[in-house]
Amino acid sequence: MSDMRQVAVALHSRLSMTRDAEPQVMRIATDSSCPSRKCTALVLPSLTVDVPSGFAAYFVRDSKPEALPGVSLLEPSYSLPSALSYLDEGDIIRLNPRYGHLWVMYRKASKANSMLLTEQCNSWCVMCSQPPVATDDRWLVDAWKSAIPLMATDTVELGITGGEPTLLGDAFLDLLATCKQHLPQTGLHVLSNGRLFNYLSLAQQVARVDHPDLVIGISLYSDIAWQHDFIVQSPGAFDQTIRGLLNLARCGVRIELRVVIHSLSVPRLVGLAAFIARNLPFVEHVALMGLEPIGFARANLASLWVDPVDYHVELESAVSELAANSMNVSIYNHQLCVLPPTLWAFARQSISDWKNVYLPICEGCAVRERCGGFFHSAARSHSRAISPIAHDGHLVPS
Amino acid sequence: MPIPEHRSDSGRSPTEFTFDLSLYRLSAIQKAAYRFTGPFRVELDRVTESQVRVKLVPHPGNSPSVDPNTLPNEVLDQELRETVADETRGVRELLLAQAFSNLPLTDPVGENADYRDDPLKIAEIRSPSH
Amino acid sequence: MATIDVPQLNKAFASEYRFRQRTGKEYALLPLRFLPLDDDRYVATNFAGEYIVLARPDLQALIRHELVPQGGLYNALKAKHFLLDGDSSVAIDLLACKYRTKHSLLSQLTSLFLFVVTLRCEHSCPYCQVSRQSQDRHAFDMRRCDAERAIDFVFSSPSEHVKVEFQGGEPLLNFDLIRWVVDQVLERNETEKKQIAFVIATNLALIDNDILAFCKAHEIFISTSLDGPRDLHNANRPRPGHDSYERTLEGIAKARDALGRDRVAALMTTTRASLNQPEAIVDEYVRQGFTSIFLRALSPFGFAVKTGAIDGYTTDEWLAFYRRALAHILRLNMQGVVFREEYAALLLRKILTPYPTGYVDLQSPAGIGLSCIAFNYEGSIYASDEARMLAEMGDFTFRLGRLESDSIEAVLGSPKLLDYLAISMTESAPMCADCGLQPYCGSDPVYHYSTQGDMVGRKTTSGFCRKNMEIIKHLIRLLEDDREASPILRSWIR
Repeated sequence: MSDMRQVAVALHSRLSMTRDAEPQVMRIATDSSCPSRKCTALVLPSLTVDVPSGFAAYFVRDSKPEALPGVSLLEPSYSLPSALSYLDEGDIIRLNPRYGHLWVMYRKASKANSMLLTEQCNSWCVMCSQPPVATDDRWLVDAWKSAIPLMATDTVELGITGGEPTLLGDAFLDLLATCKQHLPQTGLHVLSNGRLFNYLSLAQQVARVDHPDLVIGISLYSDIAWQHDFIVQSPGAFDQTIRGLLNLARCGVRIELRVVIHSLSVPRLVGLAAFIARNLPFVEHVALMGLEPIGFARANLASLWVDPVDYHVELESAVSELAANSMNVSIYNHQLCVLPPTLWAFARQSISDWKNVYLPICEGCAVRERCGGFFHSAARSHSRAISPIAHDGHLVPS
Repeated sequence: MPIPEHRSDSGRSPTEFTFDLSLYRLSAIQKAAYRFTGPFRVELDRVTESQVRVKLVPHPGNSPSVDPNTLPNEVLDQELRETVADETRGVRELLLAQAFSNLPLTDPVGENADYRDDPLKIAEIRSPSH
Repeated sequence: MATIDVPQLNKAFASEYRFRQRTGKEYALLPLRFLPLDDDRYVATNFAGEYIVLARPDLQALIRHELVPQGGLYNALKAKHFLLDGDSSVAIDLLACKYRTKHSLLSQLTSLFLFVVTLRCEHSCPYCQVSRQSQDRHAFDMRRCDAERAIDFVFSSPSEHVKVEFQGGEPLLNFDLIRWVVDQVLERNETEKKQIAFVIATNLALIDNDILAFCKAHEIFISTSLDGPRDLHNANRPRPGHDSYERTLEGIAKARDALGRDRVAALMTTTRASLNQPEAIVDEYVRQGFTSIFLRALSPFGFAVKTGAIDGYTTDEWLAFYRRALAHILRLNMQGVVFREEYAALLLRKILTPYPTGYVDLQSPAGIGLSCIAFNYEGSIYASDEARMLAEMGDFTFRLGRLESDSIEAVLGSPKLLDYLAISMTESAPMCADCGLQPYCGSDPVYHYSTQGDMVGRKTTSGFCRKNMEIIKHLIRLLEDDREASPILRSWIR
């Protein structure tokens, strides 16, 4: 949220002017005949006088800021920053006029919409890509509560992330219920460290929401407790997470496990896979994930980074161990050219569109369409073995 | 541990071992000897206060398929088994109780507390300067 | 690797040492059993039946608390719940959970119901456990009133998944009763709503289009006998006309056509004549389009013992046969033929997965009466098929009651049955109780009673014990040492 750097698709921008008004969550409309206007911002192709009033805000494309009158018939109105020119019907934004800040919360056309509920976290993972911030950010949950009723009901899936979403306690449960109420067809995918589910009462409350399509994605980094605790920098976290997993399973809540692969988790990767297969067979999916080199991962990159071509053996064994036990496995955030071909079937295009890029060297790669590409932030720290694949399946020598 | 003395010829004649009771439990010796009761007739007798002799007599007619000289190792193994049993008796009972009762034996707080109270302080947020 | 050997993290992060020292200086043992695997190694199993192979000195070091802390072996043993130290206590929760999962079938109770609908049969296999009767002796058919009571038993089981298997003699000789039972069961199941599977165990000589149409309509599985290539099969299974093999193949083809390939299974029985041709038997199964074989030894019951017309064989002879057959099957797999041995697959599921298996003869407490029950043609209720065979030899020890007179509660709750189960449980039997392979084995009180006169049995002379121990050790050695065989075996657990 606080990351204002250039990415593949900008989700934040500054407006050229500020106003003294409360922040507001609004749905984007491009059609001025849209009936409900109170929570809607109309995007206009150009300045015009023939526009109905009553919209919460007006954004004008293709206009120079100075071309807008200081006060106009359309109020409040803003020039749409060029970085956000993609905004379209059904997208949802939050406008904070006092700071001139525009946040694109939801894009109707995206498959990767995610709700960041808080930046607070009770863990401190050495590779965290969204480092915790201790400030009171309850306004975030409120913003999402306003946004959810504005979202398209045919939204396939929504992520719920943080920080640690379960820290919000009842507000978290309330958000799940809000989603169930307004978006009954939308799957929810929560990312959590699972520790608070050590309390059976929380697992029971989640189950009680009875959401029709909810999966909790929980992170586990080693089968040895102190190693997992070290990676998440929290003594006792392993036990809490394991008990959390058992409680969620008892309550019938669907679970996915996520393992980030780096120098601290590679040594026990195969052991962890065997541990999961034997102790946590009820999880419906295991994701083995490449590092996203931002946040703490970036600060610790020199210590954490392992080139994927250097852990082929461990990765193949781990996948094989899980697959042999009929568990669903995926590999995230790895390019096809750095994986042995035997693992290509497990590689997914997992990187959210707004931060997904390909390198120039990828031009002409025969499998570019199937490959997940890179994190925008990985432009500087990727495998030494990136190389386009020729049509016969071999790597093209660089 | 010292190797118990033994006398044996190949095949048909009996094999004897003597064990020092200060080094091996009688129950370990008995259990180990029991495993040879298929191919052998097993004779146990107490030679002295602190010594037990085990005699393995092959059944007439057959050459035993089991090597009688593996008895000392088997006694050692039984010793280890008894050590394990002694040390893990309590845990075994706890495990069976946990497996088959509905009682929250290992983590009653997690089982019963309200997540809002968080008595285990799981939700504690650390500050950067830990 | 022992510790995580990395350059320093950013100074905002606590060091690895701070976390590692929470393990403390000592470790505690968790319940474990062990057994020599070969001259140098042991196989050890934990409370939940997970195994690890260790060198002898390492096992001793483990038990004497002399293991190098945080080393590779130490971590492997810790992650697999053989030992416990100061950084975590969830081993208890997890082991309890795993143990409960492995024993969860107990709460399901009986799920396999054998209906011996007739004793009549037109074959005269020397190893058969039932008597030879000619085709027109209707005194050897099950009566409808008894079948009706038996159906009550089926629905009294709390199990969601139930299998009804029709046996004989040759059950198709009493197909009318089969038809009636299936109809009755399905009708009653409209309200009960269990998942019910039907199987007919038949030699297929009498299969016709009407029977096949009925089987197709009600999704009935066919299980038949194929002992091996033609000469072997016909020698084992004499029939007027000496054409059991041809009839069997014809029947298999017809059944597959009508019902689909995956509804027709074949079982083999190993006789002395089979012993020197394991490869040919496997090849026969491959040739006939089967993708698996269940290698079974002769049971020491019925005709096999009584007639003496067929030589028995020792457990060691059978083991040699089994090893050869398994080696051949593995070679076939390496050449790309997908083919599985079912007994090994069962054992591998016990060894490698968290789940229980319902195979009656490999459970403790024994599966007899608990997971399976047999209703004989003359109205007696037996704890298992073998129990029934024992009765054919005049020994009614394992008869649980009579359909016409005994209530379900009296039969399933019979103190007699519970006694047999309790005393034969491997958890408490001498040698079994501390056997390293106990999690994978089972008790077979009927076998031990009929071979040794004692339900617990003296395992040192038990063929059942020797067979299972040798096969399990053999499989574990392959998993550990044979890099080609290991992935093939692992693929059989699905």
